[in-house]
Amino acid sequence: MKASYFEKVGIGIKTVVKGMAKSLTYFFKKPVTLQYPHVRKKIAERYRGSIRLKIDPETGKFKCIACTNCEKICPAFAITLKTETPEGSKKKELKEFYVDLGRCIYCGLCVDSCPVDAIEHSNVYEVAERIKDNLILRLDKIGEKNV
Amino acid sequence: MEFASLLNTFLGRVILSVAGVMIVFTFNALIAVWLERKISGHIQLRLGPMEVGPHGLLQSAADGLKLICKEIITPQGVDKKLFGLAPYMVFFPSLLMFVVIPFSDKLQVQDLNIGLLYFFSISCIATIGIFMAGWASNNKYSLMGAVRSIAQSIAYEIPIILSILNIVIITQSLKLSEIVKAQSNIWFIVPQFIPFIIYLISAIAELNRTPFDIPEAESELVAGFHTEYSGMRFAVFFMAEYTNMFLVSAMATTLFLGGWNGPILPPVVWFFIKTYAIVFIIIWVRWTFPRLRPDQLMNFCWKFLTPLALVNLLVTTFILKIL
Amino acid sequence: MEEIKDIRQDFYVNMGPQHPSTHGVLRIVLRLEGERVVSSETVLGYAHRGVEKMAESKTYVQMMPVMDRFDYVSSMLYEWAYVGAMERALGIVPPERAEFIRVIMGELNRMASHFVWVGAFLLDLGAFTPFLWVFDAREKIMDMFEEVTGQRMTNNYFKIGGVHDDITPEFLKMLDDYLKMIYQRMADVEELIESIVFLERVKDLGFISKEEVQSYGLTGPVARGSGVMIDTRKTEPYSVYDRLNFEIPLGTKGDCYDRYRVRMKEIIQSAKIVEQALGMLPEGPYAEKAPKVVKLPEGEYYFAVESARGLLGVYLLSDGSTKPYRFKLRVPSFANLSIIDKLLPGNKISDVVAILGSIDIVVPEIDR
Repeated sequence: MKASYFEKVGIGIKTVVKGMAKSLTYFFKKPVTLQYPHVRKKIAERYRGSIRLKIDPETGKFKCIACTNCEKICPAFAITLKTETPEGSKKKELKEFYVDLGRCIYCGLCVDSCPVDAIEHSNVYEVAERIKDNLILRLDKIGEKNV
Repeated sequence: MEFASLLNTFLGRVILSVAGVMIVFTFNALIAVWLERKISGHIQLRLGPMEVGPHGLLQSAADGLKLICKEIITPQGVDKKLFGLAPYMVFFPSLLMFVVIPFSDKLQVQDLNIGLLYFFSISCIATIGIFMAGWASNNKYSLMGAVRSIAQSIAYEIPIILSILNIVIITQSLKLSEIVKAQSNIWFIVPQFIPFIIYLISAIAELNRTPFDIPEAESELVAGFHTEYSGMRFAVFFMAEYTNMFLVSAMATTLFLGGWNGPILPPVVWFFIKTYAIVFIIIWVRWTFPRLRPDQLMNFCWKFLTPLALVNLLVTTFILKIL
Repeated sequence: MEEIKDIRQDFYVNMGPQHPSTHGVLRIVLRLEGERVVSSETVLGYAHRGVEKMAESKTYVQMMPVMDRFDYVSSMLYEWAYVGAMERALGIVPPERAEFIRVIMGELNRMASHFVWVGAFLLDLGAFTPFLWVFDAREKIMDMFEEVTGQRMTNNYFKIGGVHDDITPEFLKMLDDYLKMIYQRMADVEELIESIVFLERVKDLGFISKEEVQSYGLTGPVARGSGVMIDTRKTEPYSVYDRLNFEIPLGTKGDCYDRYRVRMKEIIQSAKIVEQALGMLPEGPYAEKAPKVVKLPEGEYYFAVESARGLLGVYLLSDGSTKPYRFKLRVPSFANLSIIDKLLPGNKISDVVAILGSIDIVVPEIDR
């Protein structure tokens, strides 16, 4: 079904005017964007930002029991744990906990896999760095970035 | 030498004109680009540039500075002479076109008695520059863009000329100042509304802007004829585009919107208000429609615009004859 | 492709892998005669990551986040297919509430995917404004996803036996507001898009007949645009789709315009499904208890869902260990793309982007 020449002209004028009118109405609408560095969006509570270790409020120490479940399950090999077993004790203890944010895919499997709920996502999303090595964070040291 | 007497010497007029044209040119390059980005932003529920200067007013200046600082890259295998010359071939005609624009009854570089003809003949030179750019780039996308550009500007010259012929017939003059004076009572947009629309559509096509931007067509030809250009050479193309936009709007103002005529405000202000109103419409159209296909573009010109312009011309002459 | 003998007439143009409108790293070698396409050849593999092989060295749970990364615009539908296959193997039936949450999330994701498509399609045709209008609508879906799943795109929300978290009251409020505005926005976008320029560009272009749909194995909106009723949600209902009332929009001619219309109508249908699912959302647990270490019993398992692009099937061959012996995906984009070399010849170079755009491909999904 091909429209005739004049029909087409009619459709053309109608749709062009309609489209122009629509874009003009949107011209006067309120913009939806945020001026990012000046205005920030509210981040959802469940947002999966870079991970951090939880501190037990009673003892003031990290909850981590160095089971290395998170290291094993991490699909991107972003987590590295160094553990040590102090003499006279059978339990492993956490020595160093590294996360490479350059590898991390923020999937949340480490948080799910933790048996003692010792690791959580923060709401930090601005993790860009100029030097790649700065992306490797040591999480078990208070005072370091994102801790 | 006093200022007033400076105006009377030939050299003095040349110097002042060049200075004036450069001021208008720079002012427009800043304002038109800013307007485009702001208007497009607001249509798209954004704000556009906000950081440099109040409401991003100096963003274009910052961009220009960045482009000047960039290295001028000449890709391998290009025709170096043509490649270097092409941007200026596009750019200088647009400066030359300023010569006849009547900004007000006194502000005009040269009131040629064939002003209208001069304007549209000079505007054709830019096409040669575009073709040079596409040809010299040694890039298939560029070449295709260039060929499209030629086809397009040949086609759309015709409805443009046919639409302004109406004005020429009514005023019996090619002199722009006389055309403006003839509109002191009634603007030509009222009796000649259809030619105004034809002029506007064809002008957008001549400017290579969406929906007629087939020589650039960024989703098909990457960037068309200026694919290989970067840095200042690209900026020259870019500025030429926006200068041309100002110029066709200025010409629309002169021919259809009564030029500098207007109450209360000084004539120059009226001229710029009207010109930027047309610039707004051109920008508004760009951010509303998709791009036409080259063959549809030709169809539209030859099967719709040209016959319509011809019929209109016929009607105009007929009515004038009766009156 | 054959050699060009007469260089004055034909020439080759490499469209991609770096080209603004090949939607990623797809390469199409076009043989052109002026503006007209004589023949074309599609070259794949620039985004090949060997994921199917990689799956054999990852545990079932570790593959979950990888599932988000094939089709990054409708990632939860991929999770659904994978989780569904595992649930079928383990014999776990997710609770009612989980199923309805999955439907809500899946349909929102389908809408988000179609929004991206509409925007990108119009961008290919040269209009920029609809892109940002629909991206505003998509952005609100992303915000809802962030609220519930914790991420905007690679959600990793589904898990064996249900979903990761329950939906929040905040989410319900956002969804309510969203459903109120979406119909108006869609009408606005349609009015803006369907100008004469658009209609001229996409009508009577890139016909796909019903026979071709069958022989090329096309699914999704591409097949439905040709009037073929293929939709896993109806033909082989999974989850609770058999209890929901919705229509499958069909095209008549099978041109680019029909495919566009089908997708636009599907957005509305998806919004209606979400509305229904919200009304039927039962109380109860949001996840069944799943085994800690996932070991599928020996055998072959297959589960198919309707992704935003068509039939998406996940095939798992298990040898009883914690890792799949073979992992295979039946992705819709790959099958849909296979017809492109047939559609392109004879059309102009401007139509190439329109046809390619109307097929709606996601390159990481094709290359895997």
